[in-house]
Amino acid sequence: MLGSGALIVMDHTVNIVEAALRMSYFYMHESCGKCTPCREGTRWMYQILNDIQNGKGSSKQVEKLEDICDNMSFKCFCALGDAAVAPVASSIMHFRSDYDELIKNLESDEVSA
Amino acid sequence: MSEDINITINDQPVSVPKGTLVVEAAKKIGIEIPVFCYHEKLGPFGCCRMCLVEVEKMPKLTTACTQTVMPDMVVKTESPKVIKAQQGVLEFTLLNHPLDCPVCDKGGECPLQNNTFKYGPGDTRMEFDRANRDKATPLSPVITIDRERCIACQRCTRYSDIIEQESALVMLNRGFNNEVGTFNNEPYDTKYSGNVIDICPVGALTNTQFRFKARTWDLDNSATLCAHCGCNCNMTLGSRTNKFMRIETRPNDLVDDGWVCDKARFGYDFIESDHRIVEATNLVDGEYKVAKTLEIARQTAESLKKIVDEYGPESIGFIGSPFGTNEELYLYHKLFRFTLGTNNLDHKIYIDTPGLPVDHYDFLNVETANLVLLIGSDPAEELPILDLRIKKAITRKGVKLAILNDQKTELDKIADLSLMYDVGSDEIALAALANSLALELDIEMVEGETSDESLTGIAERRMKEMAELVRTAMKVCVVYNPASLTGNSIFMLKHLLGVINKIPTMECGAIPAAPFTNSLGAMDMGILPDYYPGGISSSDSGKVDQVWGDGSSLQSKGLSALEMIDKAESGELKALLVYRNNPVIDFPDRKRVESALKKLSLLVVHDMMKTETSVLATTVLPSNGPGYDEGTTTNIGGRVQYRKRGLNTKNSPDWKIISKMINSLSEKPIEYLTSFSVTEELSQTVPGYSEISKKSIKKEGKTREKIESANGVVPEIGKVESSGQGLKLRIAEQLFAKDKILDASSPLAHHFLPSTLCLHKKDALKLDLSNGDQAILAANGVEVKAIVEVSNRCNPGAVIVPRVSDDQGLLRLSRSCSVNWVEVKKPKVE
Amino acid sequence: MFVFTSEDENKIEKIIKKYPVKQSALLPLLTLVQRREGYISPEAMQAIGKKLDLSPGYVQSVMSFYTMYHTEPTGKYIILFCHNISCQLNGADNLFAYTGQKLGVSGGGTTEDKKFTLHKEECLAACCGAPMMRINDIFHENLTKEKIDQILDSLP
Ligand code: SF4
Ligand code: SF4
Ligand code: FES
Ligand code: FES
Repeated sequence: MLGSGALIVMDHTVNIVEAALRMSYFYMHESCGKCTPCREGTRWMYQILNDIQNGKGSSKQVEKLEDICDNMSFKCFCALGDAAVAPVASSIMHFRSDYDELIKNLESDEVSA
Repeated sequence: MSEDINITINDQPVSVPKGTLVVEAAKKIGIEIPVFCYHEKLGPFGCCRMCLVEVEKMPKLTTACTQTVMPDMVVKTESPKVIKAQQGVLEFTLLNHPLDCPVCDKGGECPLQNNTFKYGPGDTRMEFDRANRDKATPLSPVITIDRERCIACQRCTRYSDIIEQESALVMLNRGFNNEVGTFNNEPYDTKYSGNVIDICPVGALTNTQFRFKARTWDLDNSATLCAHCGCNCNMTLGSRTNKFMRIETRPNDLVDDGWVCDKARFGYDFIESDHRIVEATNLVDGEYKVAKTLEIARQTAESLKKIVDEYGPESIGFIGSPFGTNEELYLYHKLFRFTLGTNNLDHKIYIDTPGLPVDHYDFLNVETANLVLLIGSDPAEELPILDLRIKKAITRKGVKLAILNDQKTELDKIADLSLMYDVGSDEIALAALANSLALELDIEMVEGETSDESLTGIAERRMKEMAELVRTAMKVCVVYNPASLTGNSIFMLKHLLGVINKIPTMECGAIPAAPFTNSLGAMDMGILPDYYPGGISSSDSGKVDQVWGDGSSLQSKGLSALEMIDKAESGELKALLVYRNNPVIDFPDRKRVESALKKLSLLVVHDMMKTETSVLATTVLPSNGPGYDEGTTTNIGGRVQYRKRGLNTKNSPDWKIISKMINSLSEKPIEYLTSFSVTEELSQTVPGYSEISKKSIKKEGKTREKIESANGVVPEIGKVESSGQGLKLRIAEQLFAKDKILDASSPLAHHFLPSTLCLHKKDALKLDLSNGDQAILAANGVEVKAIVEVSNRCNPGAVIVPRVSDDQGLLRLSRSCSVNWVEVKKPKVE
Repeated sequence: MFVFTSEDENKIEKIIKKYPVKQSALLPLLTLVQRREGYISPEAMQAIGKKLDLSPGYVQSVMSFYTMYHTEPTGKYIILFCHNISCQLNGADNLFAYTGQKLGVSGGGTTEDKKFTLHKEECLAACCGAPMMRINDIFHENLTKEKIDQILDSLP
């Protein structure tokens, strides 16, 4: 579920983490702030994705993301929280390799440094 | 009635009325479901998600604070799914919450701490710096907000919206950036703002005065009552090492519905004021000499007795207080009536009589009536928590509101009908309404012309609308302020009550809403010249003797407080004991009062604060007053409650001082052990109080039995005073005024208004005055400065002047408790 | 001081009539003021509150929720520059930076001559024309640097 009944087609040149990051920014911005899981969760997910995208992430954080998704799903006041989970959870599920790549880069950088 | 619904929670069955929330059903069987945003007075909201529970057959977890019970529902509050959700929600809640607990005022009584402890994850997985926001900024002069600590539960903003009906405190911005705030950053300073401190589930909203003063678990808490107005709200006074620390709510749904106003919370500085009277003094050769309190009490009694012996019992008098406790006032009644033999007792300057021809309604009846008829009362300014109750009834309980007043008030906004009579025409306006109803009922009417618009400023048609509202209401709660009525209008009001009561199938009750703390108790305890306790007329010697023993009734007709001043002036009154009252400021015509009091050979002032009257006294006795005193008070709803001592003092309690005076003149002294010994005695002697006891009032107080009003004849309309010059003066009481209780250094000083006079625009035009002008109120050779407000707050021909401070000296402008005239003029240009 | 013009008053009356409760007219009234004044001042919030029997605090709470209401004076042209996913994938970030530089308001804001106000905005529902921006009421789609130059330069 990305957007409102619209389809966005991306080819392989797009890094899915960047896309997920952009979408999580959107949800953070759209969260009305009324309920706790959505208000706090959207921001936390954005912060973590931002780390990963900027090469500062770890695989532990990806697992944490998955658990945050679980803690938000169906526990928010309205469906925005569930929608916010979708791009993050599905991108991890289907494109875990994109995440791993960004994390591995970091880990090998650290080794060589 | 609604049928009950059976559900099970954690395998325990419970049966609750339809519409009950799951969280409440659980509470009923002792199962706690953690909450943050839910508050029983605010209703369901569902934003914090702390209360998630599992309900069989529901695909998702649901919030127990919004979910109502359904037949055969099966709820689980401790399943693994629920536990995971609770930990998740708490992790989110704490994600950006600062680690302030060690320095946070909420520590020890913080729902966030408690829930985290019981239901939280042991650890945090937050790897980023917590978001920073403004720390400890003033939300008002009395409330500090720490936005970092806020968990956005919106209890405070919903309180401002739903309970206060002000929407002054709101949620600004959105998402993660939302914050509790006010319009344009203005202070949040409603009259009931402090309640948000108690309902905030974290330390985001704190009491500025109490900040960092003590840890909550170190406080000694006393379950006591507020002593500022006739609501008698329940509150907790917290102290530490006998120092006053703070006031909090102590919910009693029958009185305060869980709230107190800011005068209760922030208006207790007087407890430590330098102006307190703490020792007994005697004026000897122009100098005050300190002596032992009880010794001076004995001397005082003997001096009074001597004067009685020499000049007769009519030569002494007692001006009591609507602020004293029942016990104190009861003992004074005994001292003056039985020990000294005079009926010269009073406590007020307006005319009122005990008893009602209809039921005496309690606060809860405001909600259960179909119509509240508010007469001459301004609850927002006089009785704030009654104001909240009326707002609740009107906005959430479907009750209608009709207002008959001589001034515009806040509640007009939500009234179904609001009619404004000319200042001073209250008697005719009340008669007009009574006649409009009586006509249809075919019962005796008040004689004379009442419906002419020129008499009251209210068109006949409008008055008929009001009569129609009343007639069709089935259940009417009349709330009236006897202190705002002029002359003898109280009799017309009671006649009106009687007429309403005669409407077929009508249920009618009334709340006599005098603003002062224990006005009702003062009347019940017989601090009236013409009534013994329990509303027994002084002239009914049979009844008096029956209750008090043969020979208890007195021949003389007593003097009212104002008459006592007259007689003091003429030299017929020789001695006066003034108890917690300040006639110099609070009675009309200061100059005359002062010169009258100076003529007395004995003026005893028994008070807790130095006043303009106490400086004239020949003897001063200390009164402990709220905080240090204890005893019962009777609120405007007739509920008798116990005002517990909050702080210790070495000084003798007032009841001991008074009983000392009685005993030093009696052959059979009665020694009371505690204030409750007096309560016990008065419950046996004061009609209506027979069920009042330490035990019966302990939990939530107890209403005393209704006191019947003497069966009245249809009153006549008095002569209308139309001879005056200038405009008719209406003084409007303000609870938040700069008086002896709230002085200049009070944290509530931001509520003090400048001296203001409110005009109708027609008069403003005639006087060539406009908004903001300086003007002078002149009468009695006295001038009072005020700023003009052209607000149509009253009909033409009158001026409304809020009583904003003692220094203003407003009562100097009046001469009596009926209509007073003032001239409004421009100041002379120099 | 903020006052409604008599033309406003007429409009407001019509707007209020459309709704069963007055309060519902809040967003249309905010929009009316935003369009005419370019922003909503505290005085305007008070005036709106009076019209609808709402506290000014309530008006502000609603107003501050929406990013398209401005609390500071804005330029003649308000540029809402979409930077959401579709537009971003099509280069919106660079174009936004370019526009900011061109106008001398990097990161957004109002130009000194008060002609333009530049703001980032979330999806404006014109993804098929991404990247896009909205200037006052007009959508400009399939943007390039050249196109942006041309559009901005042509505005009077
Ligand atoms: S200030 Fe307190 S009561 Fe108000 S929203 Fe924040 S946490 Fe809730
Ligand atoms: S309403 Fe009256 S009794 Fe209640 S807290 Fe305020 S002053 Fe005290
Ligand atoms: S207590 Fe139920 S959602 Fe807050
Ligand atoms: S993402 Fe730009 S219009 Fe939808």
